[in-house]
Amino acid sequence: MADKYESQSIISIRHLRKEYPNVTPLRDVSVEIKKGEVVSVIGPSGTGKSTLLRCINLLERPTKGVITVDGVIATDKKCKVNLVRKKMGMVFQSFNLFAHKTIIENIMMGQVDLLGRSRQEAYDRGMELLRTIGLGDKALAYPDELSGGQKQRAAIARTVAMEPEIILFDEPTSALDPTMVGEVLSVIRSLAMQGMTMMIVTHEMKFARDVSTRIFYMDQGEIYEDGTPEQIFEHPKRERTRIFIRQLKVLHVEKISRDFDFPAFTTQLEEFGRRQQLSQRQIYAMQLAAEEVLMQKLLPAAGEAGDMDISLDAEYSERENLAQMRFSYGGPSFHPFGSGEDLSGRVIKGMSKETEHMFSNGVNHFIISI
Amino acid sequence: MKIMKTQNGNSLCLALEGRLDTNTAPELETVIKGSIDGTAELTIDMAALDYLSSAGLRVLLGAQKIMNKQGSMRVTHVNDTIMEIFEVTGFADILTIEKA
Amino acid sequence: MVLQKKTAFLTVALFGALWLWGCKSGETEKITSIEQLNNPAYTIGVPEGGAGMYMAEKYLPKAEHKTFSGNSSGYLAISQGKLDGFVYDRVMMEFAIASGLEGVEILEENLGESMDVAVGISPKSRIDNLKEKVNQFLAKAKAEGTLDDMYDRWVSRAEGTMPEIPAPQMPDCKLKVGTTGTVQPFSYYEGTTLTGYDVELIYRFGAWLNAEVEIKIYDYDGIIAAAQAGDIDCIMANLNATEERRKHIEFSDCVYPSVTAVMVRSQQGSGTEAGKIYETLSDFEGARFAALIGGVYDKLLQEVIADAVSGSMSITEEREKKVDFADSHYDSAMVLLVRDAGGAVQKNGFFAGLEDSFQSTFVVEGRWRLILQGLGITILISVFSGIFGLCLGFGLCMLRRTGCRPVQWFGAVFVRVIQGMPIVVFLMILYYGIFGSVDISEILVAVIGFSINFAAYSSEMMRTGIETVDKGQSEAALAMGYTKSQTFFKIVFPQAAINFIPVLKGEFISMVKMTSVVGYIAVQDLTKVSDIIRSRTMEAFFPLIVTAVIYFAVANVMTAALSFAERKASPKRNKRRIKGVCM
Repeated sequence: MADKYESQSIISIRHLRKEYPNVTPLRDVSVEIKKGEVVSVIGPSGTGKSTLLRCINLLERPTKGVITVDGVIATDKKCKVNLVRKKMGMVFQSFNLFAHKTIIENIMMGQVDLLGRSRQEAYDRGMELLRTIGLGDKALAYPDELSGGQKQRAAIARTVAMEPEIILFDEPTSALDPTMVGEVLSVIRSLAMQGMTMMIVTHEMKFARDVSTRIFYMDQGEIYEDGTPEQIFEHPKRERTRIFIRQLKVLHVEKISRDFDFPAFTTQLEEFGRRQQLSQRQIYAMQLAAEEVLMQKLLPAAGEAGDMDISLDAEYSERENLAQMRFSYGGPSFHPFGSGEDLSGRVIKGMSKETEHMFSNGVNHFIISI
Repeated sequence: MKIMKTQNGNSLCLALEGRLDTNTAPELETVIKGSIDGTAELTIDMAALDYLSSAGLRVLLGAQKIMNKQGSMRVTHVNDTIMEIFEVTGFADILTIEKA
Repeated sequence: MVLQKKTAFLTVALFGALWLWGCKSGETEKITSIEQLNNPAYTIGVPEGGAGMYMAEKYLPKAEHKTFSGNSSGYLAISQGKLDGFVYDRVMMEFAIASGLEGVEILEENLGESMDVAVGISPKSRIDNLKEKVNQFLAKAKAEGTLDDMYDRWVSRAEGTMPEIPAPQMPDCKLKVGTTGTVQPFSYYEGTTLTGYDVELIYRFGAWLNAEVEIKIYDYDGIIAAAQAGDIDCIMANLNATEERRKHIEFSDCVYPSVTAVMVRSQQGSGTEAGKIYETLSDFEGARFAALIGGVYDKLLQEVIADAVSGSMSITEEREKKVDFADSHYDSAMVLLVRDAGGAVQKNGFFAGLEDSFQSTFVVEGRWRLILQGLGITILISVFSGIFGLCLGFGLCMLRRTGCRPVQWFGAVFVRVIQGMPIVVFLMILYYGIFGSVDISEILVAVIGFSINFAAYSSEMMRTGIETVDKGQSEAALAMGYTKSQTFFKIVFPQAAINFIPVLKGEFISMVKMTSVVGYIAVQDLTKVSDIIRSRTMEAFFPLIVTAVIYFAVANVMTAALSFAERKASPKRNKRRIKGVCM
């Protein structure tokens, strides 16, 4: 197995699973992380992002699976976990600076105790790091005398001082005031520019997109989509990624048939629109789209083509102020307004920003953006 | 949808209230067909109309075609959203529309 | 000076409060006969387990009984009016009055029959046939007239001098004898030296037996148990051989017969003795005086009113025998009264009293040395128990943090059991039970007991202290590559210490005060020493106040010392610099 690919990767995870008595935050994760990569792990809360990180440095013992760090099988029972951990720095959401030590002592401790450096060497290195992050004058302060941003920067310096092969960041800015997020992100960014291998669990999408070389979108205990920032943020391949990236609110209806209670759906759509604070015009256009496509085109056509298995997602992205009506239906390729511009087609075209039709694997996708 | 019919000599006024969509358009079509004979002046009052879809447009178009032969037709009190529908479909050019 | 004033103020307040309390039961008619007391309206004091208790139960069943473990607390209770009568050995009560007990008198009739005072023999003694040996010794001493001579010297004439009894050069065995140390003239402290009739008897028996003698001090309520457990071979503490006691230990033949009498309050305020106004020294003719032997007042009184002790002292049959002793015992308080009434220092009466109490508590017979010894033992027990308890507590805390369930459970149960038991009970279980037949110093037992007790409490505090340290702290250390034990000792424990030290400090100070119960297992700590002194001075308050003040001082000094250590340990209060680094 020691092929070229393997030797490059600093962390290799095979079928990692973590179960608790009531929940299974990690179902099955297999992934390779190569030297020099900056991986951002994004995804909704409670989908196992932090658990993945904590399993990698064995703060949580995996239920199943193999983790290899720099060629050493960390999940092996005989493995000296503390030696493996020395290669992996970890930065915590709650900073976890040692409360009984000054900032400089926090940074010196590990170097002296674990790297065998002299106190003077450790001090010099610590001060150098503190100065680069602008905390030189806080060396003799205690953690509780620092702001959240300063604490997190110091915690990063402490991790960097240990010269790890990779640094794991577990939501480094989630516990911070919005005003302090920037200072911490800029420290992480400069580490990325120095070529540090990093894995960052974050909710800062813009930061993840800017700084990463690779993005893991995690959902329901799996790495649901893995790609470059461009792929994930611009062209997400999979449904849940797209919904997450575009921060969509969705109204989903499926198994739409001839018996569909259209007036009730109209009311539902109106409520959905009101809840998302859409304009009256947007709600109107969504209702029109639903009526023209379903009532005028798809349902009459379904009569001829048999059961079409129609479903509809009404989506709204608050960030982009964009509503979409996404229809999907089985059967042969069928563009609702394909046969020339009839009245329905004109109404839809006039009231929407864009329409799109795709056909793949026997399923039609028709999307109206409003 | 509610339709209020007002006959005044040979002028007929139909005031629409609610939604004119796929489900309700046939209703309006029936009313128009039943009372349009001998009408020289047809007024469709949309002051209380919330929603209009292509199905409604088709009924209006049918009425316009009949009235072109025997008199005139006006659509009155049209709100902005419905006016937009008329505009994007080119109905603004076919119908005589008075905005609200 | 300020302290003195404060002490004085406190004393006044205490006196006042107790006097008010005493008044409640003081409004009863004068008691002149024993039969009068056999009435539920009266409360009589009885000594724990002694002949007095036996006689009182037998002859005064209707009165309400209050039990006292030492005679001195009984004396104080009756002189303060908390009791209507106190049933005790006549000789000893007379000694108490002679020693300065005020406001009481002894009814002339005896209560019940006379009872043997005998040597208590431990059933677990390691000396074979000890009872026979004691009886042989007693028979010989009786035949030679030694016992009579001793009684004459110690009791009848109250000379209080211990003859030279050479200790055996080549002892065959070791003889451990229990006595009280608080009963004049049988077993009491003169300065720091244990002396008295029983003590002489002990030394004589030791010499006769050719044994190395070790004397241990107990209260009456602990001494029988100690003999029963085999901590001592025999008891020589003018112990009455009651039926009840015979069930637990054996007794030798009679050493001398004792008679029980009843002490009652003398009519204060209306009685002629106290009501008489002394204006000149000659007025004291016929008044009753007593003074401490060898004390300054003895001499003073004899110089000032040489013929004072001659007149109308109510002479009972027993007293008649002891005219000698009455001659040479003068009440120190009465001397004070003389000076008061003489008008010379009238205004300073209270302070003079204080000075006098100070004299008798500290100076007379060099009692300060006794107090110092007691204080030393209190500090010794506290400090060692603190240190060992802390170590043990840490171990216990570690036990409870192990992954092993049964071990955790054991630790938890241990802590619960110790915390749920009064320390006195625990100490007695250790002393009389677990170490009952082991030759072990009582001080060591006390240190063991308090160490275990302190361990139980400190382990809980450490555990909570450790639990309050944020989990993130140890996670951060582990993530850096520290091992579990490094993480615990370098990161978690130092932070936990900052949490639990202040609580532990309070617990330690309360333990220092709790050590005052070690008297129960024959340790002469500060409290026990103050008991011993009280048994000599017959004063309620001054020795107690002194004891309280000393405990207060000790507690405060230790608090200050621990706070200093705490400040040293707490990182933030230190000057901020980094060791071993050139900045």
